Amino acid sequence: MKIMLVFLIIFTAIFCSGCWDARQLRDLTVLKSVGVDLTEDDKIELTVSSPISEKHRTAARSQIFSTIGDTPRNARINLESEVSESIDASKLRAVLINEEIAKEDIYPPLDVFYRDPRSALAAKLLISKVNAKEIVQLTPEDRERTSEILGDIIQAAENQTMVPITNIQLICPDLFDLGKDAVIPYVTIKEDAPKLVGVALFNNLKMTGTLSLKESSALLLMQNQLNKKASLTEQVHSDEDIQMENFISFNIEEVKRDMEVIVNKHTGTVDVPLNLQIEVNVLEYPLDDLDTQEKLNALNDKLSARLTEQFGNVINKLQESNCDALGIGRRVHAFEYSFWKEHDWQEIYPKVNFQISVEVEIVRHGILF
Amino acid sequence: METSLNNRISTTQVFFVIVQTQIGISILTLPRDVYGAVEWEGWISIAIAGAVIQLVLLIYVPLVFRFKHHTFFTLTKITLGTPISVFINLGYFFYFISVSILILILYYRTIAAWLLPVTPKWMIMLLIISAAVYLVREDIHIIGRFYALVSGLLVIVIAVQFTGYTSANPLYLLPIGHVGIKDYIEGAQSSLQAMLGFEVLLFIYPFIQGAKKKVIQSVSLAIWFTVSLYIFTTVSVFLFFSPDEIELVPHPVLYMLKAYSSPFIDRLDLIFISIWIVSVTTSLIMYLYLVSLFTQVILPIKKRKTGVLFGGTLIFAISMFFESNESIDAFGEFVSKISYSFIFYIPAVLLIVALIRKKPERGKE
Amino acid sequence: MKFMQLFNKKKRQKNYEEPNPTIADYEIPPKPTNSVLNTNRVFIKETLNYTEDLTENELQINQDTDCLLMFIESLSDEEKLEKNFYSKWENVYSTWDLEKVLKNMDAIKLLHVSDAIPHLLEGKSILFIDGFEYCYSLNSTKVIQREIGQPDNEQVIRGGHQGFVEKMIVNIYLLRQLVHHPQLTVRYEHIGEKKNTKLSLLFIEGIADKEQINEIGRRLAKIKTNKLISSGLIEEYLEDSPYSPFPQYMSTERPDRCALNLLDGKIIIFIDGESTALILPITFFSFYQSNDDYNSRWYAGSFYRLLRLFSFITAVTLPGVYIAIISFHFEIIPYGMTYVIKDAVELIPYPPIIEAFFMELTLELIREAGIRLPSPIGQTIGIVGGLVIGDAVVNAGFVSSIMIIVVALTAISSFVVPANEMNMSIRLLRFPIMIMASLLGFVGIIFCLNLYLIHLCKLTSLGQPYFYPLAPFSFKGLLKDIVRIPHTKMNMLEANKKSKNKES
Repeated sequence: MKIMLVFLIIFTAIFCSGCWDARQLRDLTVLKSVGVDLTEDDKIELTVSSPISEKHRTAARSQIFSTIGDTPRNARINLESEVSESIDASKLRAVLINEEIAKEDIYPPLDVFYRDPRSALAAKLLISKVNAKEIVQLTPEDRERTSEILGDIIQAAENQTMVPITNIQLICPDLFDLGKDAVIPYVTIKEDAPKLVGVALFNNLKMTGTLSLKESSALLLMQNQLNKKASLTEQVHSDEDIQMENFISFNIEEVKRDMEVIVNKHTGTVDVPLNLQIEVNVLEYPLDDLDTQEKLNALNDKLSARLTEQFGNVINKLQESNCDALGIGRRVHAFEYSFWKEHDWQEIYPKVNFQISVEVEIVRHGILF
Repeated sequence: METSLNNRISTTQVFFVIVQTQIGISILTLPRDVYGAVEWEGWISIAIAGAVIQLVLLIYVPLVFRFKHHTFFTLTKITLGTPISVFINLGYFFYFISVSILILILYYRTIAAWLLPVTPKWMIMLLIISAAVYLVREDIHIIGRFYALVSGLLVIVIAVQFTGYTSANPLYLLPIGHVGIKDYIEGAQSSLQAMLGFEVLLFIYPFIQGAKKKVIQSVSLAIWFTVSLYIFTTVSVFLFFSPDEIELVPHPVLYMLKAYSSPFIDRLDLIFISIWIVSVTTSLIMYLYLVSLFTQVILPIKKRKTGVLFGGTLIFAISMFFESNESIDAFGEFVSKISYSFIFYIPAVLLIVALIRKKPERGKE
Repeated sequence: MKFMQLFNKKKRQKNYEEPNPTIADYEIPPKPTNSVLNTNRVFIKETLNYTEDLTENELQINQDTDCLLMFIESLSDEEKLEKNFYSKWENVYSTWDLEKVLKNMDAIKLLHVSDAIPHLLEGKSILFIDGFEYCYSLNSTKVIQREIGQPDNEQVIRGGHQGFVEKMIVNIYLLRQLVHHPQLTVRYEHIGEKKNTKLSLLFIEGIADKEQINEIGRRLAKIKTNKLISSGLIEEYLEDSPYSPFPQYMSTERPDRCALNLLDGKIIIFIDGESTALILPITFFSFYQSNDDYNSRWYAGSFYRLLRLFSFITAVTLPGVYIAIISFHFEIIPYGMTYVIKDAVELIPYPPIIEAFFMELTLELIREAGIRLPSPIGQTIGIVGGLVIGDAVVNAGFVSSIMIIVVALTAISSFVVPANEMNMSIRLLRFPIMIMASLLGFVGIIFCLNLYLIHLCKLTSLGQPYFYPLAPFSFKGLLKDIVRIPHTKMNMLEANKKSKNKES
């Protein structure tokens, strides 16, 4: 009897007070992408997109809202008054930050994501060249209403080794690390569709430059981050009549990176010899003359020279924007801690002396010579 | 204190009891705590702390072997005489109560921050304290069984952390030796709170069935298991976060798992925190057991079950008063300060007194 | 007037309530057998309230000594009487001859005619002889028994297809057929207020724990009820914690299952008149073992055992987990599934807990309705319930389609358990989890599971830990009870165990 009474009291107490933290999935507007822009009077404009349920049978595929506030959180609170259900950002797929914001400091708009226990840290982070609002507003007709095109584009590019594998959390160590800098995918809009144009380079929390897609592929190879595959096309001849025959396309099969960081304490200089051995598989070579080893060797040499030059250019660009994407500073920190403590890496890095050499070897050429 | 044979625990169960009492609330915060003292070399501090505890065990072992049939509460009476022992036992009673309270309020704080911000405090606390009371009413061998059973969950605790290794950077652990010995010691001190729990040996020894050597073995093994688990956790966290980032994250383990995403399941932190609740419960259960043991041995409450209810209610009631973060932190600080005397100084003094007096093993019985 | 009669009736019924009008309670004052035959006849007739199936047969020895044979025709086998008694009556010329005849019929001499009543009620015949101050009870019990067939609730694919019947002797026979062990001991006990329920305790001396046998004896002696004693009642009296939701004894109708357990040191209880045997003490995992495991390849046996244990977890937690996910932690669902689930629950008017309770209760109703109907109608109910209600409920937007999937999966998982009583407990265990999940999400589920685990650790069956081999943990037990290692290996383990036992 006593037990029954206790149970009765507990249950009435529970049922009277209700479900405190319950957030029914059906009562939420689950966002799939968010864009953060800066208005002219330095306020934050937040644009969000959420697919409309098929049960509602509307013509529109996504609901898009946009509000202005002093901070991203403030803008989101303002958003609540516009949306009939409460907003939930825990399944976000893509977060777009306008270049304007990134150039000053990328952390403030991200803080709300890091602080909220429910936020989606696995969302892709992108820097947008144009207004993020415009990109978020795009709802391509030929895709499922629930799919997030930005997320899919980045995913595909990651698999092709075009952009680094990132999300809000994975980028965070690099943003805070003094010895390594972040690179974040960079998108724009083209013919009513989002287009990935490359990566944005960061120096700590500030965006300082960009790389094209090809350059970012090169950067990834130098970082030894070959994903499922990477394809490049290079010009190896200039004397053929047909323009197409001057080029070769290949898949990169394997990359062996050999990077050293040599610190000269007396002069205060850092040398980085970076050797890359790349094994490639030819995808397209209209000349069809890969039948002898000499020709292969000649082609190997040509490719090596071209890639060495290109990779060097990428490094120059990195150094210009003071973006230590290769994590040289981290190595100095780990192995030459006293040097790291004495010097300001911000000043040392642009002067680091990279010695790049790329060796390309054609190991396969499809089913043709 | 006579204990019948069938409610004793085996040496294997001792291992689980100590491991489960140690691992609890602080596995979430430990990496951040040690980082505060020694930065990325925190795992060395944890290993040092483990070694120190192993040494402290050397004080416990002769003490408990000397008084085989006595828990610590009666042991003090025999060595120091009634008036002082009452004082000391009361001290231990308050110590256990405060550790339990600390566990409870830290648990509430974490749950409120991560999962249930709106749910009232009493509800969340009641859940865990009622489960604890329900188990502590039973004898120690049932507790031992339960601990061994839920130790299986530790496999998951370890397994989920491997997801963090997909984006690990080994360079974050280097360089080693960039701070002084003093810093390491400080780091070891800040990890002490996570190590608490091995002192239960003093109290449960009479309930253990097994050769002396085996007992020492399994207790040492338990300590080193905990230490290795802590080191593993700390290292995985340090590999995942860059050093400057850890400073911003109070619960780095959960944070690391939060970033996980796969086509099958997202947000492993929810799984982790659920399992962690069980670990917290086990820690609380042990301290509640010690509290109830005090009421049984010292107070004129003959039935331990009554003592359990009394202890549980007391802990629950006091915990309700802690509101602000500062008071919780101050209380945590206080508990870890007083813990030195309870786990080290008092047993050491007792051992010295016992050695000098050379009391016969049986005492007054 | 009629109203008054009704009233009176009611009153009378009230009077009847105490003492309970059962056979057991009917007290017969002791009365010695009278040498006058008629006195005895009257006494018996009166005691049995002139029941009309009481048959009497007057006989004479040498035309001078009157004898009277009384029996209840519905209980006695007249053919038996004919064969053993009437046919030999012709050769009886004196009382001395009579005694000889009676010996062949295992006659028992009764000094009290009051003692004859229970014998009559067992189907025996009572023979009074004029001038004798005692009477004889002759064995003429009618034996009508069901055929030994495969029990419906515990079918196996391979192995023996025999099942217990309602006759205790036959059951013991079936068991002895399988276990030819000289130490197999049978002990009869009469229990109840009037000691009118017969049961038998079977164990193998030397393997079974003596303490346990004594404990069973003590507990059986405590049964002070005058109700009809069934296995369920005995079970409750024997249980260590009757308030626990878990069954602490296993009931089975399979002799081979009993035999295996018997050889394992368990104790078997048969109750006369019931076709189920109780096996005790038992562990949680025994409920998840089927004899098929031992007859199939050990990979398959182990796989299905683990599958059943997994089914326990899903049956208990799945609805709770689903409720917790869609009302608290939907961020745990991967992106691809989020909108699928959101679309499914979008227009459901009720909170998920109501949805789940509605579906669960519907399912229980269907099951309960189908179980006692003849099987063709039962199937119809299943189809109507499962397909029609399920489909209609989703179309009406009452319950989400995912909830139907969850509830159906849960139901299927709960039916995987080979033992029926465990199945019942599992179905009840999930309701607290569902409620807590709807209040606190995962925290609530963990709380419930924590309590269940603690309870399982606490629980004992006749003093033996119920959750063995997980609590207390034993690796060898794990190999034996949770997976099924090959028989050859198992023998080795057992040999080890035996030698260890000898040492200690």
